[in-house]
Amino acid sequence: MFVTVVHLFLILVYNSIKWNGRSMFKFKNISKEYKGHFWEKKFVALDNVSLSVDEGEVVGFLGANGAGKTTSIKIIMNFISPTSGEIVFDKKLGNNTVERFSNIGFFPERPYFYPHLTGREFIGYLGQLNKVERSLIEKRLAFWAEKLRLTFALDRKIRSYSKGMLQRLGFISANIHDPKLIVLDEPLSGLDPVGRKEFKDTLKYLSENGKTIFFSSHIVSDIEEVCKKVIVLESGKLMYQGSISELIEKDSHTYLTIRVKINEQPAKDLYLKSQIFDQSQGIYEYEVEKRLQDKFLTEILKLGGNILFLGVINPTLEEIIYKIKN
Amino acid sequence: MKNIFIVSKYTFVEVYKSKILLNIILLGFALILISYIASEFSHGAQARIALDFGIGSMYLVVIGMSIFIGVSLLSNEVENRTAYMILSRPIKRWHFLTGKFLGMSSILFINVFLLGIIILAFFYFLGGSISALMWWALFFSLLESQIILLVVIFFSLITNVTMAVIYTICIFILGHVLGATLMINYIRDQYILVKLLTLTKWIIPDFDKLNLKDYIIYNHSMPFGYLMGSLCYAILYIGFMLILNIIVFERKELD
Repeated sequence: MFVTVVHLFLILVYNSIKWNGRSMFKFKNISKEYKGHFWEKKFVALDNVSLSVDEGEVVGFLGANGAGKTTSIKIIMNFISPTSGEIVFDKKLGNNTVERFSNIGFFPERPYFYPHLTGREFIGYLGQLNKVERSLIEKRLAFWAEKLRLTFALDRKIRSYSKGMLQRLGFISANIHDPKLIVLDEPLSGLDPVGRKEFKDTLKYLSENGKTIFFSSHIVSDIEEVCKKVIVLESGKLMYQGSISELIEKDSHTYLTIRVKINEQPAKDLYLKSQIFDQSQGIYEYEVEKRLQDKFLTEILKLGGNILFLGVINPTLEEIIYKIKN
Repeated sequence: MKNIFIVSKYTFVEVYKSKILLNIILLGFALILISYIASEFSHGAQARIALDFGIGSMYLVVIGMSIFIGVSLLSNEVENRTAYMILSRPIKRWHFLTGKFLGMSSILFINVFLLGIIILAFFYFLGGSISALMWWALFFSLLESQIILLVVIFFSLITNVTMAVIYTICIFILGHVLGATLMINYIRDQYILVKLLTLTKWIIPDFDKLNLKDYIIYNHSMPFGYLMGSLCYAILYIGFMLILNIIVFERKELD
């Protein structure tokens, strides 16, 4: 009995330490419903979503348009409130919303700015709200503007900025107060390939400097390149959360791709799908479950087939997400 | 509290840089021209007619500015997501709203001040004598424009831009005619109607209390107590509307 109590106590202490020391924020069964007029059906934007983002992680928040990513981010930023469930922040970020926002950098999707202010004035405005000293604002602005190649435009009115310049300015504004947690909503949308590369490099730089980054995107390859952890939403429901490598590894070991030169087709229950690779030479490619690998190969040899290629093809995250969705 | 000042400062800078003040100066000259043309059609009361037209036009310009800039003051911030950039900082929503209101109020103040100076200078040039009541009239115009500004912000928070403008214009008209309506003999005979209109008069701002235009044109004097009473009424109404807006904005879902 005593041992059981001690064991339970240790588990509690461990979980508490793990929670306080690791998670930046947690969604606990968050749901969000929208209701138009009384005769309209309610729309469920988020359905009982529980997720957690740990300190120091770069977490990709993935989902198609309308999956509920922006709604989740608005809940994190207290712009809207959940219909049910709660969001718990690490005490490190602060005890109330105002304190927390001193430690959170936010970048909204398609950011808009005051068009008649200059970039420098706008950053000065936000820096002052964040209670950053004037000299420090200037120092950080100079650093980020140089890094993101925006120095030349800082004294221009924002209305003359291009889409890429606006994205850069928004990114600077999210970092001007050196936050612990950075929340970015589709930061790479609308950027050209060079801009995307720069942004991804900057995210890596921030990650190396210990920042926790939570960023949404509907482009899988961007998340695959930058993040170690991914959270996948689909139609307001959580589909997956965890390490990207685990997800890929788990999935890649399940199937094999076998390319053979053969005149006769093997039995259909031995493979998942087939496609003609080269019709003139009679080469086919089969996707085979790993548990049926031996049976399939034996069948091919029996039919006088010639095995040209056998391999575990690592699927991209995009393919895996597609599979999860279906 | 410092945040209120920061928001109002940058609201002012943003509106100022949109060249609205340049337009005000141009408008000032247009008002002088209108006043001059109107005064040319009068005999013996040139200065008074110029003052009547000048103050009347300025009043409409200021109210128009309150409605049409005020309606987008917060709704545009929410729709364009600029509010997200600000409210994701360590600032309370009511600080943001109060800052926006004060920033816009300072624009209205400059507007009334500049146009008022131009009109009074022209009136003086035509031989009129400037009384203290004229400054009160200008000040009350500013207070009325601030009440209208808060009314339009309130409607813009609970409905769309078009309806907010329509509702505000209705409130503006009601605020001016309710007092006179209650004086109509037919209405005074209808007990229920009188009670209903009196109740409405309590809710809707009574702009009659702030309208000194007729008194300054006909050179009447006003008791100081009345002026102070009207001033207190306007300040209380502004405070009430500001609190109402804060309550609505604090609860608003920023979708």
